[in-house]
Amino acid sequence: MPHAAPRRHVLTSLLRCSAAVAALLAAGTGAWALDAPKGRVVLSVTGQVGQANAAGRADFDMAMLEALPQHAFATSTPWHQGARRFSGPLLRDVLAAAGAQGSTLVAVALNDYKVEIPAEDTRRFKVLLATRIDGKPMAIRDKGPLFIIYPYDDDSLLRNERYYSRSAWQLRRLDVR
Amino acid sequence: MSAPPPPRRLADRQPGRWLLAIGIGLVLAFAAIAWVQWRQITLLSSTLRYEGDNLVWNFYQVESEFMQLRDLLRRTQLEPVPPQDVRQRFELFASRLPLAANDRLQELVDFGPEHQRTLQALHDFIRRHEALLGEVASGPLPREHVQRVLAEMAPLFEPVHDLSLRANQAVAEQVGQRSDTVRAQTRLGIGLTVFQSLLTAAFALLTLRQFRALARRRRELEQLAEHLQEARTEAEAASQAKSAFLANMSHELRTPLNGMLGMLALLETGRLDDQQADHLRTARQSATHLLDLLNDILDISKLESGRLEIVPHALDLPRLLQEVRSLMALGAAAKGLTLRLEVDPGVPTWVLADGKRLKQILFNLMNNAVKFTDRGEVALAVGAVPAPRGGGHALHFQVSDTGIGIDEAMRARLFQRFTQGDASTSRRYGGTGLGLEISRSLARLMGGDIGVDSTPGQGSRFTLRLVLPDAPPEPALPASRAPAAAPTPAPAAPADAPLDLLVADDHPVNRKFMAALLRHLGHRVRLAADGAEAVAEVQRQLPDLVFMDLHMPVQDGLQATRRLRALPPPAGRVPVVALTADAFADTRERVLAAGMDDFLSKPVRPDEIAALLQARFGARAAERPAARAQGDGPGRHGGDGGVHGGPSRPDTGDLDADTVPNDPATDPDASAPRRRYRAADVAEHLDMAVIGEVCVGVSLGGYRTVLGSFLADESGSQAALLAALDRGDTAALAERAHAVKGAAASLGLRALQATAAGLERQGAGLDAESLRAAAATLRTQIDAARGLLQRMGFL
Repeated sequence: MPHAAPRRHVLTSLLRCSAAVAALLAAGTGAWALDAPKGRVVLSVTGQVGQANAAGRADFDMAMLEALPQHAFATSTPWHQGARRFSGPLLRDVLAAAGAQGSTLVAVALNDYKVEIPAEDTRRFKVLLATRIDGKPMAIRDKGPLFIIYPYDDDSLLRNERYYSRSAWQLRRLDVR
Repeated sequence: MSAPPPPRRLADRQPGRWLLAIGIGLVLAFAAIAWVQWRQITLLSSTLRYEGDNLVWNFYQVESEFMQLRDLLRRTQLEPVPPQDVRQRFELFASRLPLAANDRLQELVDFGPEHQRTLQALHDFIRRHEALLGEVASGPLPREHVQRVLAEMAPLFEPVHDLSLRANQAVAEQVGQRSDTVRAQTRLGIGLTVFQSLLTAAFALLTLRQFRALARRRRELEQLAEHLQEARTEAEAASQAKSAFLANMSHELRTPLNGMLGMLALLETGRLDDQQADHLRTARQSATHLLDLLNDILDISKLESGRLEIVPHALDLPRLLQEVRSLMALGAAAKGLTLRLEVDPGVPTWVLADGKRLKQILFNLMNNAVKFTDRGEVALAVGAVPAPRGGGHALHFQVSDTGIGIDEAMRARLFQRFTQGDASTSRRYGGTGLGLEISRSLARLMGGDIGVDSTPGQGSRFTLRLVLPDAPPEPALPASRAPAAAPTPAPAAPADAPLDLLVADDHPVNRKFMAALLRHLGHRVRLAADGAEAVAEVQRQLPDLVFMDLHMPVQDGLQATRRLRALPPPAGRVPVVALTADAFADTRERVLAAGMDDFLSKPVRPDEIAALLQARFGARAAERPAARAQGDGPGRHGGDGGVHGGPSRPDTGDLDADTVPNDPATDPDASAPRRRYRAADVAEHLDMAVIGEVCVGVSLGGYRTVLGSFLADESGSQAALLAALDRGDTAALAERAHAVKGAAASLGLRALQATAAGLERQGAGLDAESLRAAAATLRTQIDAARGLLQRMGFL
């Protein structure tokens, strides 16, 4: 999708802009800019978060994540047989929604697996916060419910252990630093 | 040049093969290296894939989740724990299990049956408790169930831990193998690199050597070229030296030969018995042949050194042809051959050509024709067509004979040096073997060529083709026909006074010959041995003309002439004629530049001298019978006579000036010819066709008899005519002249016949002086005829 790149870029800029405006508004009025989750919280963004909806953090339920612009691509991974189609919001959109301001993300999984992801990655690559595999929600047993997926098949640079290790699954928390 | 050592040469000869071998080696090495690197990349990516699901990490996670699940279950027994937390743990554990049971993992590491059992036990464990602990379940966890789960987990702990350890070992093994592979690959890579380096070095060495070999070869070629150049220069120098040697030798050889010929000619004028005459004739023939050879060799040397120059001048072609015919007439007649000259009406009269050389070619061709023809005829046919370009004519001179002919093999070699028909013809016919080569070279120098056409046994036809420019007619040369005004002011002397001639030559034989020759022509001769002497002699008494040899000691001819020219007139204007044996074209220029007036090449021919003198002095130079010199008084130098004395003449010493005794009393009426005869004299004095007819008619013997009686004047008709002339008796003149004319005509004595006929017609109107002159002419003509016929063997 060659024509998609600039559009996405514009979109990202708009989102960033809106996030900044939202942050200003939040600072000015003291009101929560991000809605509070209505269902079970599946992701908490902590640390330098401008759009907190709880104490010092931005919580997301699955509905909130699915409300963000959805993306999808197929890629093979070391953990799956063959190429699979992953879908969900882009990680940078999630961070923008949370008003995250930082250079490093610490992804924490349900089993307390931790890995550092440079914030740069989210801008440089189309990093997906996958909520679905082949259109279906992922169970914990299927490394769900949230899975950070890099577009491995798009770029040979990504096909190495550095990026494989950043591909956290069973993601529960993102700490923005 | 020294030969390069053989091994080198071998290597030099096969650089192509070496290059090919090295090239193939390099390609193979590159292929091998590419293969090794591809293998390394493959290995690396398999490692990456493998690391992607880090083995130990997977098993550790299984163990870790197993323990965390156990710990959480234990905690539920001590404190309240939300059941969903327990179920999430269970799910996490369940999610880890497939990572350890991955099929690909099984391919990578052989875990053995124990591992399979453990995995199976864990799978069973999960399946058993799925209903209560799985994500799908809900509701509280019954305490006793948790206890049962914990009890089931206890015996599994150790196998799960073993899984981790075993995976660790497998990975260690794997890493070791990988290291081995990498090491092997690296070694192979190094080996290949070394191999490649060696090949590259070999390639470089070979290339270097190729370059050196090329450089060496180039040097060798340069040296070779240099040597060739040197050799060429040497060869040219040698050729030059040879030519110079030949020219010098020709000079050195011709000088004594000239003397010899001259002396032989003089001897012939003496009184000889038959045997002596025969010996003398043989000696003369040999000497003449030698002179011919020398002339041919000189021509060849000049042709080879490119110094022979063609000097075209306006010439009267029909006259030249007549001269050639005259030259040949004697020889042809002697062999009983008919000699024909056919000149096409289209042939121009005046052309621009080198007459001497043209005559030389034609004479050679004609001479050959006569030589190789025993019966029949020899013909010279000349034709011409206007030249396509310029105002000239393309002429062909066709010399045909009815002789032995030339076969094809011989024709191919005909124009080569010393090639005559074959060895037998050479023995039979003689000759120098150089004539045709010279003729063809001359023809080519003139821009033409000579071709030959022959049928063995039937005859040959040689054709000289030349393109000659037309020339404007020139007044007839005064040389031998009409006396003209001498270019040099004639000294105040009576018209018939003998000439006073000075001969400067360092060679006594030459001096002697010249003196004899000139005296025989009726002139007074003074002699000088070098240039200085000649100059002194001129200053002492002015001669009419100086013959000056070019090569002389003390002062050579050129220097002497320059000194003469520096003198005040009239001595400074005395005519000087160069005598030289080196007949190169530039000699003429040199002598003229030195102030000389003319040029005679040695050996000097009497007729040339006579022509030259006649051209300069007209009637004064006219040949005088020996008896005419009787009036030469004392005080005159040399005088004539002496040279035609009898065999007892003491002509043995160095005949310098004034040493020849003047002895007019010695047989002034010698019957032997008094002069050398030119071949052209034959045509002038004799009609060979008539003589031939008479011989055919009455046989040679008959002709001889009649001729002998006429020359002995048995009838007295000559004596009567001469007496009438001497007396000035014109009354009886016509009748007596008529008698002589008739006899002369029937005997083929052409000149005599003509003179007698003239007297018969016009003698009555002549004065006494003219009658006396006519008498002298008649005597001369009788003598000439006698001499010629004697020479030809008729007498």
